[in-house]
Amino acid sequence: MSPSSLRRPMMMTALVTALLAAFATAGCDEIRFREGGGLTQAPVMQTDALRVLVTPRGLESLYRTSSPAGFGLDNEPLWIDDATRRLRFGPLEQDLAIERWAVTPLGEAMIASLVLIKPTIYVPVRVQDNISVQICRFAVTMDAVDIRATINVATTSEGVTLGGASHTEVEISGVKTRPIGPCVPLDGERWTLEESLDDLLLEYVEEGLTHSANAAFRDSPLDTLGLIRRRVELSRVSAFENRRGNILVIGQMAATDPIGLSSRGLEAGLDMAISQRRAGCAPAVGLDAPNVGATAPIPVALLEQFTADVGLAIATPLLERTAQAATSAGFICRGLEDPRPADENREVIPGDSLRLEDIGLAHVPIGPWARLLTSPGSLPRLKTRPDRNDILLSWENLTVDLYAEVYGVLVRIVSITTSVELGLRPRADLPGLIGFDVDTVEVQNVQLSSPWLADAPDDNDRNRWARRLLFLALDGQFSLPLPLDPGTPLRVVGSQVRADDLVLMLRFTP
Amino acid sequence: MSHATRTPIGYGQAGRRIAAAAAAMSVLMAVGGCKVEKPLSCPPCPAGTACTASSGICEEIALEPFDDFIPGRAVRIAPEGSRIALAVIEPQTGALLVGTATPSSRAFHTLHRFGRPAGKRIALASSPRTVAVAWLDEGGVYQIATRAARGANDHWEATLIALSEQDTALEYSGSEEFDLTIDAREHVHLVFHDSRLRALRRLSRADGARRWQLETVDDASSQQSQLVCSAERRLAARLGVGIEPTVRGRGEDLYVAYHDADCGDLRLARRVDKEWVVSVVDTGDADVEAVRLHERGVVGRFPSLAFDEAGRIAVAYHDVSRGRVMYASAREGQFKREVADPGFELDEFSQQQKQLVGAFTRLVFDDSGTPRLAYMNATRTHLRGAHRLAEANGSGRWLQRTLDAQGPVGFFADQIYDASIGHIVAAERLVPTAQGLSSRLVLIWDGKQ
Repeated sequence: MSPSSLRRPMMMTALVTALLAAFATAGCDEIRFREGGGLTQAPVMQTDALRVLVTPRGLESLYRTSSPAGFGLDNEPLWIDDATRRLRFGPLEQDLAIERWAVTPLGEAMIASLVLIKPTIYVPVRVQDNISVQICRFAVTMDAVDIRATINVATTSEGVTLGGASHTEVEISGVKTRPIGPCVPLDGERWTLEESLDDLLLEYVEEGLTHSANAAFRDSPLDTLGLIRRRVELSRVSAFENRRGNILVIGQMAATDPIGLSSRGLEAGLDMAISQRRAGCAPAVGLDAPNVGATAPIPVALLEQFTADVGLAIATPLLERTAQAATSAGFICRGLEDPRPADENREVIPGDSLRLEDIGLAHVPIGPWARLLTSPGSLPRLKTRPDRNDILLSWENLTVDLYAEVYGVLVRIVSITTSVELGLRPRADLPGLIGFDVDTVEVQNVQLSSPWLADAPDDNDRNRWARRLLFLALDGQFSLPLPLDPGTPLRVVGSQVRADDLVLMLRFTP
Repeated sequence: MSHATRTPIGYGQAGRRIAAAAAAMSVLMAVGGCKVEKPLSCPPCPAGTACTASSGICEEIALEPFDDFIPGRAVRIAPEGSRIALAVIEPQTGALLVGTATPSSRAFHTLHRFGRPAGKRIALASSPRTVAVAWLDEGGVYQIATRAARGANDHWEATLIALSEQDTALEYSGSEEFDLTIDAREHVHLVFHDSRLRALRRLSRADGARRWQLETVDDASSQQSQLVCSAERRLAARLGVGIEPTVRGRGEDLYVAYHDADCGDLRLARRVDKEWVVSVVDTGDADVEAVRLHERGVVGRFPSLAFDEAGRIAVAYHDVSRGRVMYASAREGQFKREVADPGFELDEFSQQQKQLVGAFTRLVFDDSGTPRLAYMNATRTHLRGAHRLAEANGSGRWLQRTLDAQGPVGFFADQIYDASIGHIVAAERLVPTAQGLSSRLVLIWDGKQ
């Protein structure tokens, strides 16, 4: 079995998940993916909207991750005839543990190497004469195997691959061969070939190692990283029809400098387009986020500072367009969708945390649990603020409704509508995703309404309570799943907000 | 032998004595606002008398008029000739009030005082001869009080459906999930969710009989169908069947619609030829793929049963998962489901807003055979109504309108339609005051309050 076939399934749409779940607050069970999707208008591509840099160290990890079972040694059978018999060596089919990978940049290529320590390779030899067939087994042990090759980036119709290995060298030291059990047909007295059995075994194994190295060095790094180069449709899954919108994401290799190897590592750029079908609950306006704006190169020093393997830059206009598309497709209309009892329900918050007394609603006989509903009255604006290393997300009109049980029925207790500015700060301690803490909340023009109020609260109480409710509703809700197969051991170790993009720094973990 | 203790309940006054011996076993009852020891073997008392607390003798009583604002907690209404009968709970004092009303007059009396906490639900039913009200007493047993239809509202006779030591056949654990009906033979049926067995059960008594019969209608164990959720799910939920039951009789047959809280389904039990047949009307799984992956929907809360002019059964209920009102009507042996109110509203900015509608759904048919629904819009806390426009093929669209939008209103919605008195909708309004929420009864007669 070749190493490539041992790789775990890659999540082709992972980056799409990342982009669209960003600012969408939706769980994975609330998004349905579909390759393709119906497109009624030609997409407007945003050039160089995504950029990825995989450092040489990252490429080593990429190879390691892609080959969880190790080095897949295989070789076709080798037939050798002597005067009276026919010998068949092999076939070889065996996984060998890889001690280490190494990648060294070499201009627009790289030298990749892997080292196997003390591998033992088992070679079956079938001996057939006119009378009978016998099978012997031999063990070929080595102190070390060092395989190295020059690797280039190849772009084919199937995608981008690292491969095209040339100048493959296999260096073997400390070779020994021994039969496993008695092998009468091949003992010294009966051996008639000029070349020794040991030499034939070693040649056959060497050929297998060289042959298999090509497969070992072949990789589809963009697939591994989940970078999309096709069309994907995401549908909002909801009990409520008015929340069911769709987003179409199209990605393709950047028209200029799409992918290449350099001393910095492997760099790739992607052009992206996002369009959407509006959900009924969303504002009836079109996306107006700019469709231009590109990522800047990712400094290697920045990755080194965080000992990161991979850097991923997302252009601010793409982030804003994503936030707007997610809003328009109904991903921000959230809450009241989980019908399960409180002890299983993911939406509930404790009723005693609401401070209803602050706005004169202490007398409402609510049950122990409350739930929040958010609905946007406008599309958000998004800015990156490098001076604060945060993202400013603002809505002119955002509504949060508070529901709680009264006499066994979930009813709306109070509704606030406000203009809000959220300062979102990336955090790096969540496995599998990068979350955003709501760092700051600024509210303006707060409108509070409730049929349960005897008297309206004063403005200060109202604004303070509204701000707090927004924290409760939104904190921890913005997250960006890692653009990787969830099984891939990669996590965010840092982020940097720049003037025109957001850079995520990722590290492979053992 | 099963044993039922009958006692009119009210404020005791001195009166003629009817001798009876008190039994040793007793349960706590609230009589006249005080908790007293009540002998189980208190004898049957004539109407207008009550068995006193300790001696086990019956005394004449008269119910105390209630002249304050009429509350609307747990309101139930029933037709009674040219007027309606009502029952409500006064939440401040824990009093169970019974009353009568016409468009121009109302009269209420205190029938019972709950201990704390006050009861949460009551059930009311009427027949040409009888008005009956049921409630759950503090000891977890049901009481049913009856009076003659069109009779005085201050003369009630109450029965405590209690267990005697000798008769475990009448053992049950009452809950606040119950309903009441009187069939054409004047038999009283009380269906309820047994909180210990987590099953739907029925207490019934023939007209004039003392003996109550208890049977289990549905314990969820016998139902084998692909529609039913897994045993694992039922075991994990352990909430049971028979939640929010609604019972109606037609001829000698009896029908109960109720919520299966384990599976999140709507069920219907039919008693035909003295056998119960249980079916699942709605599992909430329609378009479940679009709802949420790998989850069943939750439907069937607040079911309400009625029969159309052709005698076909229909059920209205709340679809919890989708926050909407459903209407299922029997056609050729199957239920046809319709969305009576999806709960969507286009706001001033052309955004389609979702309203949670369908709590406290009640269904009646008017004399033209039109199904009419009353229910709560829980988002706006409004009382709402819907009716289906008649069409030749019987599949007219539904029209919805707000019946009352003044403050939190619509709790415990109930409605009746009777050709002689018209269409009446009742509900509770909660009025915010500086002292807290005050409960008020809302009565809408043919669209007018």
